[in-house]
Amino acid sequence: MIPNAQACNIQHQRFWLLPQKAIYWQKRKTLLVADLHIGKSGHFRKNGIAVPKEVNQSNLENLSHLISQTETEHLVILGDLFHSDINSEWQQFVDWRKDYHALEVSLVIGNHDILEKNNYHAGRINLFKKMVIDPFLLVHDLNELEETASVENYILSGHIHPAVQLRGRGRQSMKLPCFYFSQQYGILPAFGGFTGTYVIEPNQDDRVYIIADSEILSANNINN
Amino acid sequence: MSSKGHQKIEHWFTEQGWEPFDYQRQVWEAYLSGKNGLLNAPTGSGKTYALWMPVLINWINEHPETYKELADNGLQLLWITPLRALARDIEQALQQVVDDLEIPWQVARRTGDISSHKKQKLKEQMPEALITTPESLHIMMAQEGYPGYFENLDSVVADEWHELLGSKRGTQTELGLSRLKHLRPHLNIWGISATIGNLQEAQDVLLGADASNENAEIIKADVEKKLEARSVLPDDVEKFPWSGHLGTKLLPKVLPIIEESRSTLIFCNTRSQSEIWFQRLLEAKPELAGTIALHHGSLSKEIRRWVEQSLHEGKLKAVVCTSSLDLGVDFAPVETVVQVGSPKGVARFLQRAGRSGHQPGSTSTIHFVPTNALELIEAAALKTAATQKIALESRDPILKPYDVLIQYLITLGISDGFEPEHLYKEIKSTFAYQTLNEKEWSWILDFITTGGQSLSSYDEYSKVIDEDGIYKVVDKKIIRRHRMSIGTIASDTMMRVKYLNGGYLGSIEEWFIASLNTGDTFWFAGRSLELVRTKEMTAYVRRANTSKAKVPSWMGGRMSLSSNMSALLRHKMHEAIEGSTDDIELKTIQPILDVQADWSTLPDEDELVIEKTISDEGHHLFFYPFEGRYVHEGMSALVAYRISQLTPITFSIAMNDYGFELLSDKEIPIEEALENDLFSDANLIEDIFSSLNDTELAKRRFRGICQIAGLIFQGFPGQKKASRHLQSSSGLFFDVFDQYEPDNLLLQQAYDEVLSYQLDEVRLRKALRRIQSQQITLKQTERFTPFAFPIMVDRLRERLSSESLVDRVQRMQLQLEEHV
Repeated sequence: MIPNAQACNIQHQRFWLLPQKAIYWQKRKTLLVADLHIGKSGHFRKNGIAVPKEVNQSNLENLSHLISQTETEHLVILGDLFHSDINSEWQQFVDWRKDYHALEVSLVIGNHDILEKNNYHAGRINLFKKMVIDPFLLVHDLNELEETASVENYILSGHIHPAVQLRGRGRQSMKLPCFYFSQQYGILPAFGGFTGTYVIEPNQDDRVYIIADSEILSANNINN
Repeated sequence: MSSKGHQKIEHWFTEQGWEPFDYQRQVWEAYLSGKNGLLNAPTGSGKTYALWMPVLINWINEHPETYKELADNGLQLLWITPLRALARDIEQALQQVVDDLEIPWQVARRTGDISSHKKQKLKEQMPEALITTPESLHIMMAQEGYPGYFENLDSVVADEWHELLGSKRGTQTELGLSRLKHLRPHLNIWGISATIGNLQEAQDVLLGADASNENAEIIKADVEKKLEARSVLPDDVEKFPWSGHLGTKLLPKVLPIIEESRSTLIFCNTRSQSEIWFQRLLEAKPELAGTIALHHGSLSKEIRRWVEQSLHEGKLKAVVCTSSLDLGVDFAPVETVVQVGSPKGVARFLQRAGRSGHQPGSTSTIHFVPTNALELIEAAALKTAATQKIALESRDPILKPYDVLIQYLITLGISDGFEPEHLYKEIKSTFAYQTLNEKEWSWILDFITTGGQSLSSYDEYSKVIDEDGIYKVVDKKIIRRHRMSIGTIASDTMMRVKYLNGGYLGSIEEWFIASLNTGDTFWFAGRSLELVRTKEMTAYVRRANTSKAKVPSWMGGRMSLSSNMSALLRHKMHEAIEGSTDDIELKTIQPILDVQADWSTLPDEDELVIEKTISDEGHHLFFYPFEGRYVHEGMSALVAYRISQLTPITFSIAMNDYGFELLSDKEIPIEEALENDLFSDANLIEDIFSSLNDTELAKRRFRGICQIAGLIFQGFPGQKKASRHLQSSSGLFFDVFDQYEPDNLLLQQAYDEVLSYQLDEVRLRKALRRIQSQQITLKQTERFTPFAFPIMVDRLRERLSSESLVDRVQRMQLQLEEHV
C-alpha cells in the first residue's frame, strides 16, 4: 500500500486518499485521478516554448508507481487526460499503456479532451460523458451538470484544481492543493505535474484534506 | 569653420533671435570631425538642436548646390527615445528646422502607437529622420529585408539615455546598435543624458565594448539653474500620521502654492496617488474645476496630449502627474513644482525641480510634501542634497540578461535569419554581453533550437531551425506571437477603458477591473465612472455622479532609497540627536523623535537599533539599518535565514526604507543569533542563496524574464481564447525548471537579478560591514514605536521558514467561508 495514505469514508465507501493526488477505492480496485494534462509540455514545446519535457515522463511514472503499489484493475480519469491537440506525447502515453494489458482505463471527457476518437481507441480507453459507479456519479466539471435536482448519486469531479489558503499566527499563510468533499460532491486535486491550482473557500461542514508534500492532513483536525 | 552648412544653421539661429550655446557648437564640431560621444544636458536646454544641426550641416556641405532639391534620400538619422510621448515633440522640432531651411527632408515617428497604415507607408519610403523607441527598432529588425531600411543611415542619437541605461530596454538598444554598426561601419553614435554619477560608463555602454575612447567625447552643457527647495510642514506634528503614503492631510497647504504660481506641476509617486490628489483638490476647491488636470502613463494619448497642449498654452493652473511628466519638452508657464512623498533619490528630485522656472535667470522652485512624519527627515536630507550638490546617483547598466538576448535572436530569426558564429562576435561587442562565453552562447542556441534538451523520439520542439547555416524561424504562429511580444518588457495585462459611445480614456490592469462588478464605480482619469460591461479586453463605462468610488491601484515596483539618500538620512538622524540641526523639518519632527527616544531609542549614525515587541500577532523584531528597501529585502532574508538555522521557525517579513521586521508565532532567539555573528558578511552569497530558495523573491523576478524570453504569452488583443492552451503562470514555469532543469540559464538569471539588482549585493555587503563596526542596541519595547509602526502595517510580506511543511500546517487554520 502507499505510505501516508489517508483513509476517508464517503457514502460508506472507504477511500484511500493518496499524497500523489489520487484516490484509491479499494473495494472496487479502482484508482481515481483527475486533470492529468498529458501532452501539456509537448504542446508548449511544439509551439516554441521550452518547457522541460520530463514533465510528461514523470506524470506517467507517478501513475505507474501508484498502479504497482495498489491492486488497481480500473483506472478512472475524471477529465482532462490530454491537454490539447494531438502531439507525440500522446504516443508516449499509448506506449506506456501497452505495459498494462489487464488494466481497464476509463475517461470521463473533460473540456481539454479534444482528441479524435481513434486516438482514444489506440489507447484502449473507454469514453464517458458522465459515468456512474454506484453510489457515485463521476463527471469532469460539476458546474456543467444540468440543474437537475434529480442527481441522486454523490458526485465526484475534477476540473478546478482545488487548493486552500491556510493562515496562522504571525501573519503566516500558505496555499496547498487539497481533496474537497461537501455533502453532495467531491473534487479531486489535479494529478498533472505542470498544472496550477485554484483557491476554494470551504464551508464548515465540508471535509478538506490538504496535501503537504508527502503527507495528507485533514484540515478539519488542524487547530480548529 | 564657416562652411556653407555652418552659415545656414547660424543664420537660422539668428532668425529665431537665438544665439547657439557654446556646448551646442562643441557638439557640432565633435560630430563633424567624425567623433561619437555623449552630451550631458538637462531637458529643455536645446539639446535637440545640438545633435540635429550637425546632421544638417553635414548634409548641406556634402550637397551644397542640390540640398534643396534632393528628396527621398533614405534614412539618414535614427533618433531613439525611451518614451513614445516624447516622439511627437521631437518630430515637430526637427521638422520645423528642415522646413525653415527648405530642405525637402521627411521626419517621421515609428513607435507602437502610430497607425498600421502609416507603418506601411514607412516601409515603402523611409523618411530621412526617424524617431523611434528601442522596441520599435527591434520590430523593424523583425521584418524581412530590414537591412534595406538602414542602407543610408549615417547617425543614431539615443535621447534620455540615462533613462534607458539601467533597464533592459537599454540592453535592447545596445543590441540594436550592434546590428546597425555592423550594417553601417562608419555610423555616428551619440547619446544625450541628464546628469548622473557615471557618465563615462554611460558612454561606454552606448558605444559598445569594441569602441575606442580616442574617438569619443563627453560634452557637458553648462546651463545651471538656481534651485530653491522648501518643505510643506504640518502645523501639529503630533497629529500627523506615522505611516501612510497619500499626503492629502497637507493638501490645504498646497492650495495657496497653486494659487500663487502661474502654473504648478504636482508630482505623485504612483498613478493611484495622482488620481486621489486630483479628486481631493477638486473637493477642497471646486472652483479649480477646468483649470487643473491629471496626467499619468495609463491615460490615453489624446488625454495626455490635451493636457500637455493646455500646459504649453498656459491654460492650466496645475497638473497632478506622475513620472509621465519627468521627461520631455519644457512647459514654459510652469513656475512651481510640488513633490508629494519621497522621491527616493536626489537625481529624481532635482530632475523634477528642473521642470519649473524657464524664464531666463529665474529659479526652479520645488515644494516637498511629506506623506508621513518620518518623511520629514527625508525632506531635510533632500534639501541638503539639492542645495549642496551632493554626488548624484549612478544608473548601473544591466549585464548579460539572457532573456533579452533570446528575444533578440528570435527577432533576427523571424526576419532574415542569422549565422551564429558571425552574430556571436557582434553580440560580444556590446557592453552588456562582452563577457558572454562560448558555453553560455551554445546553451542559448540550444534553448532556441532544441528547447534546451537533447531530442528524444517524443519531442517535437520547434522554434528556430538551421537552414544551411542560417538560423531561422519559419512557423507563422511563432512569428506572429513574437512580433506581438517584442514590446512587452514587463507589463501586466492591461484592459482598455472606453465610454459606451467609444471615447477612449486609457488602460487599467486587468485584475483591478476583474475585482469590480457591473454597476460599481471607480475613479479613473480624474472622473468617477460606472462599469457598464466588459467585453474582451475593453471595459465600457459611463460617467457616474457619485464621488464614492474605488481608486485603482496599479502594480508597480516600489522604489528604494538610493545609497546617497540613505547615508544622508543617517547623518540627519545624527544631527537630530546631537541637536546641532538648523533644519526646520527636523525641528518640526522633534516631538515624534522624542516619543521614539522615550519608548525605545533614536538610532544614531554609528548604531544599529533592534526593537523586540510582543503583540497579539506574535513576536516582532524591528531592525533599523536605514539602507533603503532593496538592501533591507536582502538583509532581512539573510537575518531570517541565519536565525532559522538556530531553531525551526517561520517568519513573515516586512520592510521599508528605514528598517525591516521579522514576525513569528514563536519567540525569536535574537540574543543567541547576535552572539553568533548575525551580521557577518562571511558566506554571504551561500546564505543569501539558501534564503532565496525559501522565499518568493526569485520566483517573482522570473515573471519578467519569462515574458521577455517568450515563455509567457499574453494572447493576441481581442482573441485571447485562440492561445488558451498555451497559458501558464511564471510560477509554474519556475517550479518545473527548478525540478527538471535546475541549470537553466533563465532560472540562474532570476537569481542573479535578485542578487545584483534587487538585493544589490555590493550595497548589502557594505551595509553589513558597516553594521559589524557599529554598536548594536537591543531594546525591549512595550508597544510599536514611531519607527516600527509604518513597517508593521505593511501588508506586502516575504516569508521564510525552516520548519517542515507538516509542522507548519498543524498550527494553521483553514480559511472558512462565513457559515451560511
